[in-house]
Amino acid sequence: MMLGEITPFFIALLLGLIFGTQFSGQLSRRGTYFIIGLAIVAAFLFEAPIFTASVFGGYIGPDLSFATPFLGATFGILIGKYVGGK
Amino acid sequence: MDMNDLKGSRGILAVVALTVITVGLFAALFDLNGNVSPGISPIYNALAFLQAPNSLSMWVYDWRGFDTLIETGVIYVGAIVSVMVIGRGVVRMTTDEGQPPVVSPPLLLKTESLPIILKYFALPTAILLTAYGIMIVTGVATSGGGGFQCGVIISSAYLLSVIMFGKNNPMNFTKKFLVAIGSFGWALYALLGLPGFITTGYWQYNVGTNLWNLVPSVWSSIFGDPFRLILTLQEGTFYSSAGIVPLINLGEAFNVIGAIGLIFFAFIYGWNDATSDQAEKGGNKQ
Repeated sequence: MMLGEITPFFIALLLGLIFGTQFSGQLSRRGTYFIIGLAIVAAFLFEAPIFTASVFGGYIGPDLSFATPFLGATFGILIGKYVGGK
Repeated sequence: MDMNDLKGSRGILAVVALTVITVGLFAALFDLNGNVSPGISPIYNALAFLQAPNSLSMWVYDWRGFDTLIETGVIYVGAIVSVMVIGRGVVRMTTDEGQPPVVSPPLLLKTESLPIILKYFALPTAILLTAYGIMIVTGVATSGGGGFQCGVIISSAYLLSVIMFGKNNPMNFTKKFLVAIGSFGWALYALLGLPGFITTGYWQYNVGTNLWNLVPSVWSSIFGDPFRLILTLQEGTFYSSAGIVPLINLGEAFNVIGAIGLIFFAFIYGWNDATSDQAEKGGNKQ
């Protein structure tokens, strides 16, 4: 595994945290699950970046891979919203 | 902004930063003479994949520095022209004391009257759009995306949020936040030119990729290893690293979000130079 496969995930998580702190408004538990579900589906559709060949990078098989930066960004926004949101 | 604010340490910092950028940019432009081969260079084709394993990314990387500079310049020129065309009615200036500004009615929507789809889906959509923008900027080496696209997508999420919910929208970007990330983006973009300039004399030379072996390997490790990918091709196995390009794009993304966000912000809330807490959200006390 190369570092280039996982660095985007951590950058996305950090950016998500930063922007998540700027989100406000009520988001129910059901709404949170809804967003996570949609994010997983979207990550599957976006697929892992090319030349990603490890599970840490989101690659599980030729027809099954996930865009980990998208998941990282979504989780970052949700965490940032709950931790530092207004 | 009052010009008196630029006196003292802030003014010195601004002058130093502008001097560094000007010297670096002009030095790079003067050295450019004679180093450019028109057309598609075979050397370029032989080396480009070591920086970006994607053909779309590959051909824009060679000119990414100037490309980004001009893109950003277009945004600021657009902002200035918009303000000049629309005039000072919408954008409130405190220095315009002789002419009372046009006060637009507050942009307050009642969420109770929103269609149910918009009411329940606007916030998840804004969150997912923001995540999409972030994913785009992290994939600069492996896709056609970049900082500009990320900035536009996140700004679109902000606009969507404002249209849906009005002033009390869930993407609660404050003027201070937008100015801060815009300034940070500019600073990051400018500072990332320094490692290449110091080590090679070329402004924004990609010390992480180090295609021409001009810098010691420690620079390649610091800036290149975090983004290094292994390319398994028919021709063999190669290592590719985008180097400082993802970081440049991060700076650009912040810059674009700050610039476009401030344009939306000024048009929606109005603008003045008040710094009080009440005026933080656009500066209008309504």
